[in-house]
Amino acid sequence: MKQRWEIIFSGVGGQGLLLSGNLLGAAVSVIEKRQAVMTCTYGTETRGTFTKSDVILSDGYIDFPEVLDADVVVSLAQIAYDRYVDVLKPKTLFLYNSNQVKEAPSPARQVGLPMEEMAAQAGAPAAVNIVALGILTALTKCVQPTSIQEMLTRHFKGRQDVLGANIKAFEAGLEEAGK
Amino acid sequence: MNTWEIRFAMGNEAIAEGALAAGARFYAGYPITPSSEIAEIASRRLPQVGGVFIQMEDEIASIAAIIGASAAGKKSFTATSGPGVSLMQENLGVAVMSEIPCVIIDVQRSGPSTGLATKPAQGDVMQARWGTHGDHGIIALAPSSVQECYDLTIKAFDFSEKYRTPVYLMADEVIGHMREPYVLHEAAGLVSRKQPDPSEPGGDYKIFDFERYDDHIAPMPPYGGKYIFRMNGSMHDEAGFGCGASDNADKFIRHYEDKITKNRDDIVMTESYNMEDADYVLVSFGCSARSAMAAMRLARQEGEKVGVLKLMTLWPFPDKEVAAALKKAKAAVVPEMNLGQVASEVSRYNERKIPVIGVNRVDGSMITPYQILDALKGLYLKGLSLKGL
Repeated sequence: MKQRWEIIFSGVGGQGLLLSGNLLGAAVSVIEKRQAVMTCTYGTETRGTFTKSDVILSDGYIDFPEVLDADVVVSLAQIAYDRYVDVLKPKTLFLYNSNQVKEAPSPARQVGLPMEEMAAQAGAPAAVNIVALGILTALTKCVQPTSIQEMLTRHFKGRQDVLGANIKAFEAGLEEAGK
Repeated sequence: MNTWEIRFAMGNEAIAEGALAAGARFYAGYPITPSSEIAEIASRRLPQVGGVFIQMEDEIASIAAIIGASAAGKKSFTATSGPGVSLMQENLGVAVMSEIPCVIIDVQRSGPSTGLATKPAQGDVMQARWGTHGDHGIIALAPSSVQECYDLTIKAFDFSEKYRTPVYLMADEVIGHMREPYVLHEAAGLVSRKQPDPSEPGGDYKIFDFERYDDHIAPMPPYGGKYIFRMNGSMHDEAGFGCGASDNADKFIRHYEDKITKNRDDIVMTESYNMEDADYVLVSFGCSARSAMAAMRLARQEGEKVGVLKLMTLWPFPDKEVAAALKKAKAAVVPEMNLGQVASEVSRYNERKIPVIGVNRVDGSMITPYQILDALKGLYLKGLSLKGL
């Protein structure tokens, strides 16, 4: 199994990109007792401008906390996709939300899935970020699905309906990517 | 609280939890990016432990409130960023002059003025040292991980109480908002504020009579108790009465400096990595220390003998540690997100006059390890041997 992962979740403010990164980092560090670091970039606006979170997962000490050599880039919105589309390496898995993004040529391995539709079908239209996390989990196996489910349960503690919808959204991502 | 617990959380949370673990029970502040989560968490957590949270009208009032609360006996803190620290400088001087323990968290962002509100910088190093007017010593600590946010906040309160002084905790936007696992543990051996001997009668009390004590720190009974406690931002005598005598002023101003510098061995914290055989030394702190650690790793992979001296105490400056690190080195590189505030200090302790090169960035982005490697290559071009890079 690959030991170290550098992952970027990108999109616009309000899409839950920080939450995706946070859940992944917490699942790996708190549940699986490995190392994780997450940093984020966003503007002064609350919603609607470019936002990303960088997550690095490793079995050992992580020095520089930002992604320098991405293994995976997730883009949920066109402005984020456009930033990365022509600068990625062939080894990078470029995972994008095809409901928002118009595909362009890229050196990266592109996988586009209708994440908004998938979230809506799971009964959680706002959980596009969690669908993406499910797809990422299935395609990379960088984390155990049960670890993410445990962190979702902790995060949405006391909000049973929201938790249920997010678990479904996560499973929808897992299943679609597993096909 | 369990005796310990692992959390995946941002530096700002670890700072707030560290303050609580250190025994802080009063917060007054005015929220500002990138420190706002500290206020948010303090507002929720302090009432749970019997503490008080007040959102003030501005930063001037915030520091005034924590000085007052500290005088009344509570461990007190505020959190802000550069623009707020600028506003706090006048009352910071009051805390220095009245020897009031308190902790000021500065989560640094790009300046001057309101600058780039959401972007990191390390440009407040000299402001922390000299921002308030007049001679005085100051303590400033700089965390470079979420764990250090927790641990150094506890240290900040301990130093503050031990030396009756305001203490800065100088995080930066990267470290404040970065999430990492950290161990939330109980703080052991916390420093309690020295109190008068119970045999001392109440009433008039010489709260500034440091010369009576071997450690030159006078006890500080709480304001409003049985001892009369006079605070005075103007020069005062041992009992807090205004005093313009030149010998008195000389004694106290030297005391404000000496109580910090003479205890520098207790206060200065640094960490060394691969320094045993290092030809090239990277001296750094805060988020830039992470860049330095990565650059060291990459350079070592190429067979270059690069080491890191990480400064966790910025003030009093780690002069002996820097001098020792530079003693055997061919050159030093100082990565920092400002235009050379720490590099200029490093140069003061460069006895053999080896090259000291800054790697500086003020555009709101972290220094990358590759920029540091480029600086090392630049040294090579100047004729210093550096084979692999």
